[in-house]
Amino acid sequence: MRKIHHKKLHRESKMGVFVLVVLSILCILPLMMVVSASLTDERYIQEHGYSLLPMEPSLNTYRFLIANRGKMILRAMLLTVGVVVLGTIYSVTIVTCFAYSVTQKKEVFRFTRALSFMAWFATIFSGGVLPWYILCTQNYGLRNNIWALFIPYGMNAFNMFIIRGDFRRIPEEMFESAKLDGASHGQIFTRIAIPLARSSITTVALFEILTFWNDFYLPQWLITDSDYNTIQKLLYGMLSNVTALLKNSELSSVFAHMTLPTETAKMAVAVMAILPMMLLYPFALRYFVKGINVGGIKG
Amino acid sequence: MGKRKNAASAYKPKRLSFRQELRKNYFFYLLAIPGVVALLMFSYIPMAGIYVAFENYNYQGGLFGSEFVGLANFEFFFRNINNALRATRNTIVINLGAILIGKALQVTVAIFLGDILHNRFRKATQTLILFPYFLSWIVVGVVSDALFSERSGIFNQLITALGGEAVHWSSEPQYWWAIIIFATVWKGFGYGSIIYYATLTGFSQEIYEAAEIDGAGRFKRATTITLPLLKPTIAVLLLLDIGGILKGSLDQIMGMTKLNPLLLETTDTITTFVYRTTTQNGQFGMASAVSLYQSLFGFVLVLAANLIAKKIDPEYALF
Repeated sequence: MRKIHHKKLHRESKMGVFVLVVLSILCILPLMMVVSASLTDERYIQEHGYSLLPMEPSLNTYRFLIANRGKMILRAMLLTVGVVVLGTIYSVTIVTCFAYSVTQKKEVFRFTRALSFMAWFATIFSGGVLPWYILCTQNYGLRNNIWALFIPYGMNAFNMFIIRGDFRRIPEEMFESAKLDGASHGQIFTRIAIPLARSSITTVALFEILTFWNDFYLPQWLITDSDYNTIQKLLYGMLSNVTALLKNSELSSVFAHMTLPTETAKMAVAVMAILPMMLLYPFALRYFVKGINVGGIKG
Repeated sequence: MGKRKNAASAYKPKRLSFRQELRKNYFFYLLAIPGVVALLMFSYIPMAGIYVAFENYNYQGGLFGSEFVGLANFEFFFRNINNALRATRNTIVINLGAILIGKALQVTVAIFLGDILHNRFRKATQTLILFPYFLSWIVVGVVSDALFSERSGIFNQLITALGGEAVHWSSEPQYWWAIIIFATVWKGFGYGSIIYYATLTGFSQEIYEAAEIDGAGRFKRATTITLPLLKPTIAVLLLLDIGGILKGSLDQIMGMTKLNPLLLETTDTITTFVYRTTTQNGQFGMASAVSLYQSLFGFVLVLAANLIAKKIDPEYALF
């Protein structure tokens, strides 16, 4: 084995390995801190501060949250899951359809170039957030409802270019032969084009799931009613004023003697906000590299 | 030199009239409609809504029917020019810092990744450094809370353990450019490195072999082969970033500072400035002027960045 390694080109440098190890640790350390703080008793943190490992492990914070704030958190979780599902389907559908129609030759669809330009121009020039905000809240009715949390993210030019890139790579002959077999435009689209472009469509769907789960922009601008708190907005509420969210309620008597978990509660909700995205992790490396396809953006 | 028509294109069928084409290919028109509607609703009508900067906006009049006041909003804008300039300065400092440091780190890490022989070690590293990319800025805010908390935060613990004086992070703005730049770089470098790494695995190994035979060391190979080959990718991504230099993440500043008024001196960006003037003070006139300023200045920057790239090498230009 050793010998083979020596023959190979550019052997790894000690410095390179060292730098990579340090960076990896830096990326994972904060997570460890958050997880262990959520598993530590509040009193310990008040006295000794945060630590990297749970020094006095306890599930008190989670118990407290489930007993006193379980409904609020569950509601936010369910709403966020709903937004992720609806938003991803909505956005991926719009983007895929649009990408397919602008893949057509201009003899077939005369607005191909115009629409590509229209999508692209919107990425370099915008009317600013204020007109957008006024239109959403006053003209489109996107305020304090679930639609406000995903409808504005319908069209994303970068995602569109990623999918268009895949559609363009499908050989012309596939379409020609399907046409000769009497397939309609719709059949060609759903049975040939979409299956052949599924890797880029999956990539875009993964990006969308991440975007919708982590989004704070739409809830911050368009939601003022705490009934429509997503998990991120709830977490922000805890971050900016945790006592208000935890205290003003009749705590169940079991917890009356306990120190209010002001620090650890934030950590526990953060853990809940991180965990679901870890489900994407197995796909991430494989698909996310496609994300920035330089040629695709330029074309 | 005009292109000569070849035989094949001479046989092209006569172009159909719009009605015939519509009847035959209505499918593609239908497919494009949702995207066009979304673009109109959330991009193009708001562009027309820039008009709001020239009116005294009120709820009854709406976006296009309020009283026209000409440049009155800009008077207000220029009277508060210090805030706008401060926001512009903060936005540019933070973004430029994050772009330059981030790019350097991403390319370096990508080259290191390329040198790794053990697939397992490389995979593990990639998996770990991609991790922060999955976190929301609000979660990063929770992390920075645990790091910079005055009493119990990790940094103050370290500082006092080393005999220093605890720092009042939440009331001393001078630290926050660095903190925010660092957080941006931290969150994004893993993703960036993996993109560059994917690009450089596509390079031909023969060049490297030849260089090795000629006695070029690792550093020499990185600077004379890898970097020049990566240059077009770096240029295009850099250009995209520079074009977005006036954009800022509302999520990030809100998550990390909760718009703490004591820190606004270094953390108020154009985005948070528009947000604050709109939602906190309800000064729509001011907000509309700033909003217009952001979109026009941003547009000019994109065009300028592209022009410069074109001057250097037409291949680098985005359009």
